[in-house]
Amino acid sequence: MQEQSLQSRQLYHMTIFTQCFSPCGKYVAAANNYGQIAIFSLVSALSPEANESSRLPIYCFKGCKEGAIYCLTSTDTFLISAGEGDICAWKWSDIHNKAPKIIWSLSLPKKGVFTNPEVNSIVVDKQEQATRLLAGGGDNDIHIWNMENGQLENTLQGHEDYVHSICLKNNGRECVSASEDGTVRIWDARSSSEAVHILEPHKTPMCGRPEMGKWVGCVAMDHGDDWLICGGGPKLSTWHLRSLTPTATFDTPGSCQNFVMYHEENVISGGMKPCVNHWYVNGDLKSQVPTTSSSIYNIAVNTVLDQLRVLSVVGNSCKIDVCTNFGYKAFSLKFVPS
Amino acid sequence: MSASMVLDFERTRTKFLNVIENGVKSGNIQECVTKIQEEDGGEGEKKLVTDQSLRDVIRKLVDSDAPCETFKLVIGCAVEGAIKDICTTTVPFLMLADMFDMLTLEKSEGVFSIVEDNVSVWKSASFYDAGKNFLLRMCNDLIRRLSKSQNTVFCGRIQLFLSRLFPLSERSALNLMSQFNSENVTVFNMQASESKFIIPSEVKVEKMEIEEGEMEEPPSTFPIDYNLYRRFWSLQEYFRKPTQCYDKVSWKTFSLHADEVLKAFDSCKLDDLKSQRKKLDKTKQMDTQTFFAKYLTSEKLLDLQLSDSNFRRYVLVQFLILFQYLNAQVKFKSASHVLTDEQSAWVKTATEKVTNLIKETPPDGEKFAESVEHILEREENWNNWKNEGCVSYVREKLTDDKEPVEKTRVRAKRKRVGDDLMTSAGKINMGSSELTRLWNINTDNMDACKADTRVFLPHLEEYFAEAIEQADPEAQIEDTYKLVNKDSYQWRSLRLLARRSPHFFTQLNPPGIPLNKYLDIMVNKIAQDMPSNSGEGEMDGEGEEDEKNELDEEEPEEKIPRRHQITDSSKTINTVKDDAPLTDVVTKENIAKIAGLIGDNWKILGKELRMQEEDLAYFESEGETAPLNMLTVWKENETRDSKLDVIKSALIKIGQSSIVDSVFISS
Repeated sequence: MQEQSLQSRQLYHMTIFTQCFSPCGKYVAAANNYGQIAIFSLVSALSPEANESSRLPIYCFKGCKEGAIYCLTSTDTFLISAGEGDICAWKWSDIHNKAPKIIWSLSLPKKGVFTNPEVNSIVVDKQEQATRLLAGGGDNDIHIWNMENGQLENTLQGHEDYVHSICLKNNGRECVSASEDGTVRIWDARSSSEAVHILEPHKTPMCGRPEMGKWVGCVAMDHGDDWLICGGGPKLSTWHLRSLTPTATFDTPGSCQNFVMYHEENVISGGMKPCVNHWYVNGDLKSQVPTTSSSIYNIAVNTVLDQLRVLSVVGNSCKIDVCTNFGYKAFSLKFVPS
Repeated sequence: MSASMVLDFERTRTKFLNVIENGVKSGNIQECVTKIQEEDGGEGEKKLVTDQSLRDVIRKLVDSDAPCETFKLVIGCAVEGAIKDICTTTVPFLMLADMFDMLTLEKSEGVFSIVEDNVSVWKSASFYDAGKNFLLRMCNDLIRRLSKSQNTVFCGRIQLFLSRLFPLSERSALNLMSQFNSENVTVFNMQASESKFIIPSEVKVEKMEIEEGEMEEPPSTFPIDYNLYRRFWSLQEYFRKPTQCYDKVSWKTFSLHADEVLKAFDSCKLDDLKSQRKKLDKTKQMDTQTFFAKYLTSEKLLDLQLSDSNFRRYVLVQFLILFQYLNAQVKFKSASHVLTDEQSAWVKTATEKVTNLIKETPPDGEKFAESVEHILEREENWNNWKNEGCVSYVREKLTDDKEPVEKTRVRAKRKRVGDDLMTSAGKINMGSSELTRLWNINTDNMDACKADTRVFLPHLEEYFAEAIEQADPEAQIEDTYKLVNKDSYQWRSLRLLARRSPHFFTQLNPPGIPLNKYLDIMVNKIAQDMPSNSGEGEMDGEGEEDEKNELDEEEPEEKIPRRHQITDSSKTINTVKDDAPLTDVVTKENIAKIAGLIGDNWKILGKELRMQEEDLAYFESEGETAPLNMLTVWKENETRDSKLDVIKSALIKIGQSSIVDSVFISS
């Protein structure tokens, strides 16, 4: 009985921060604030005979000894998780065998005895020469490791507060980061000099929302590398990179956007309201799809397999909403640690 | 002498056959008829023979594959014959029935035009009773032979013909029992095994539990939401048989599924492509007519169907029809088919949701929603009509035999519409119970129009009461809130003043005074009038209301002569108006003059000037100086502004206009 009530309380207070699709596209991994990683099978969840049990994780393990996992990413062989501990890598094959073990891990360089910065965002940059991992987090810097030999190649310094999100530009040569200090910085990933460009959305009258704060929580690049979209305290807005000026804003009154992505000529974003917003690139709202979580932290579209092309949404609940037709929520997966 | 020779049936039959055929060939029906009539034999027997010959003719024509025209002629011949009474009235119908029984469907389609064209003939008194059953049976047989989806047009023609032939209340044409088309079953894949779109899985190295699907058909390119699919199509089962909804268990599933589907509709908004196109092209797009007889239920289509506005509309309208049925009172519903309160509440909220969704569905969602509502209302009316046993819609004619005579005699006096109605004892049947009730509230239109309840013009005091309150400086109401500053109030108050207030025509205005200021002045004047009116009203007691009304009614009358005066001479108006404030006060000399001239009538004048009874009695006791005293007292007490007008009007009223002329310089 106590076990049950403990479990239900745990479920109630669960927040899923991030998710990631497997390289084969048939599974989705999600990580929560207890440091657990759960794997769900999309095939069984989408099958005609799906029932309650097919919406539960097929396997669940602890990805972080103590603390939450804030970001997940995947390469062809590895699932990489990062959060309040080290950056750890797990083999997908081990996970499928239900025996995952940390293959390698990287830790942020410590700046002091008591500092223990968390990692908020990691991105893998796959090049011919080498695969690199970029991570940004609580120590206000962006670190770049070479994944082959595990060496810390570069550190991009300049942010004055912690980094929320990073993404790549120009085929990995450049990197864009959004931070709590209200700036979006564009860096040359190979050199360790200062940021090439600094954008401050909170200072422009078009985007700034002083009542919400100046922090920029999410950033994304469009496919052609001409446009950058960012949001957070200031309004979600697209910026033209040649002129470094905002061009269009996406109105989300009362809600700061936590996550944004470009998808097939449209923009998808989610934030502090319980709905996923689909927009046209000019700023017009296309549709709003209600979700179970009242705040949204991550949205992902499974582009690996067409048959399993779903949009999944995670946020501050234990449910992962899955949409087959992006217009409405089809069903929810439930993150119940076994 | 015996009536007739024995008629040789066979011989006469062949004879008539030839006659008719010849007649048909030559196109001369009249000839056949006369020839047949000439033939010897009893009437009844001849009729039998003619009937038989006609049917023979038809048979021969069918055998010989004759063109449509010939059939037409023969039928025409039969009709003529029936009218001329050489054959029975049922024979044309029998011939038609024979014809359709023997002909192929293609030919029948061509030949059916004969039936359609002669609707008026079939409807005429002589043929109708005899033939309607035949025709009905014949048409039903035809329809049964036809397939609704293959020969839709022909089926339609037959149905149209039937609807023209029979009156509205023909029972056999009605769905009296309000039964539903239970044969319209929508088939869909309930079980997963029936689905052909299971995704294949890799059987290789994975050691986790994955089901092994069979690949029968290439898998779909996009994932399918089976949950929604099943729930969506299961709704069709409820639409097909709404009586299921009354059962508690099925109701639960129904409401659950319906909620989910409506939620999916709600979050998946449709793009209004048409209006976007309109903005770009600015050309009018013709609405393509879409119609499909049955739903296609393949899983692959669900996504596309969800984003199709026509499909959505169909389903949403189905919901509305179902909800209307559940709530409607139908005579043939069993007693257990009643919704509980909870269910009714759910139905209500669901109806609102559905109506909103319809309004949001482009293109022209609002218009569509209105039309649907209108249609459902009419459906309710039809339902009520059926419940009352299909009351005839034909309006009863007023039988007035004397009419034609009266028309010739009383040409000079124009007949009034109302007279007819009044002569028929006041109670008219208008054809519908509701209209009858309304009309019989007051059958005499003139009376009804004159009734007191129709006086809509408010009294000055009522209308301006609020404005008077606002005008009070102690109330400190801001200008923007004052009624007199509102356009609509201003306009209406001007109209009312023109009809009711004497001040309208006596108030001098510098031209160009803003309207709200003018109204302020008028409001003040009316306010001053008011207390004196109400005060005196109480004191006078009897006749107070009459006086008030009289005055009110008098003023418009009096204003008219004044108006004429004013319009006649504009110059004098100006001068009069300019002088008015100065001479508005009734001077002492005037009073003295009036007093002198009024003589014994001073009491009447006093009453007219609204003096109290007790005061008048007091003055009387004073004797000779009574008029002067009375008038002086009146002058002091008079609160109304234009004392001059008051005394003038009072004098004129009591018939002392001569005094007016002599005392006051009339303008």
